[in-house]
Amino acid sequence: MTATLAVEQQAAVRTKQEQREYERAQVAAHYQNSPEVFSLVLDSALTYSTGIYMNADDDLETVQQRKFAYIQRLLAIQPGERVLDVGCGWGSNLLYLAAHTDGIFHGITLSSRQAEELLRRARSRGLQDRVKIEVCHVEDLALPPESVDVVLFSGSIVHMRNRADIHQMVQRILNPGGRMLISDCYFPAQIRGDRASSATDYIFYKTLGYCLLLNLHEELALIETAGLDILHVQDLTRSYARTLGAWINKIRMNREKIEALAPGFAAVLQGYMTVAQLSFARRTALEYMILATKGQPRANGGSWSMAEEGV
Amino acid sequence: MSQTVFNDDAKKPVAREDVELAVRTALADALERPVNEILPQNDLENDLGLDSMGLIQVNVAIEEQFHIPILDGESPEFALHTVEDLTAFVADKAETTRSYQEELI
Repeated sequence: MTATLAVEQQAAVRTKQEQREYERAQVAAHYQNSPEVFSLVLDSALTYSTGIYMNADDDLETVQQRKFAYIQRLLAIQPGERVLDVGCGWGSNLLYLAAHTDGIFHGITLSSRQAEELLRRARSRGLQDRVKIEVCHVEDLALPPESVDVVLFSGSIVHMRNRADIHQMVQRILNPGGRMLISDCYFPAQIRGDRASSATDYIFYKTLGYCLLLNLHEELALIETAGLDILHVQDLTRSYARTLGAWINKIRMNREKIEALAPGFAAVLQGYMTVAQLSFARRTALEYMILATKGQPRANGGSWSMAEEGV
Repeated sequence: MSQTVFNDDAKKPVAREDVELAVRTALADALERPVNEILPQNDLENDLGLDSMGLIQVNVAIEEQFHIPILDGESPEFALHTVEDLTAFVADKAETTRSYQEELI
């Protein structure tokens, strides 16, 4: 039996609480590695998701800053609006949005080290009064109905199996006119490539703990069924292949430093990132950004499209 | 007398025997088998059962040891068949790579 099938069969017989605890333990491990190590691989904001490439010579800092600005435009956060960042990581999106809007931010992560680093960065920029961070699973949240204006999942919902309930929860906690943004990986609906390969096992379970890639239409259906309306879907697959290429090159440049901090980790990162890069380059995996709203969007970001590099 | 190849980045010659041992060791690690079971004439896929993930792990291990990037599109999966082929590929790569960083995009 393939690992992918076995993991999902085991997941299918767990209770929701058991699955939550499984994700809490499995997913946190990768992100508990030192932020110093990730700073040798990622951009300066420690953005662990795709940037947006538009030009042939774009560098990693440029493409990540472009994505932050694009997300800011899509979400159009108004003064005093409450933003929940689920899987906030080291705070790349959250801290950019906190610095560029007058929103109030609540980030959650499964990794205490990510939370510590995010708080350190928030304090150093004087943003701590509008930033709250918790180490918890999204299903631990007990937020009141209609208490949040924006929910962001950037490179995080892929780690969560119980998607239907999560979208229902988002619908419940959003104020009318609230927005949800997801940026994550999907399998094409057409079967391409071997999804039960040792490469899939390496990336989904051995390296990242637990991942569940849906088809885009499945995620959209769950969002719509929960009562949210889809405003915009953007393909960022080509950008993710290039982002991964940039990360791999940084690993090559910084291999000795990474090895000194975390022996063996450079090879793990390069191995899984190479698989992912090939998958996005061959479109056996796809990267999408999804924007949804609860009812009539209260804030309109204007033009929602941004073309990737056309090369 | 052994053949010698050069890796300018390391500024010292790399013996062909060292390349072969490194390739066999990388394969043994990826396949979780003893290195003495990895023979030069073995076919990577048919004899050793190396799959795409194993090949990526081998590529990364070789990069780490010889400081030569094996970039997209030149992965030996379609062109090379045996351990010996892979050794020759790495030795040639080490010889022709003038500078590690020069090849990075």
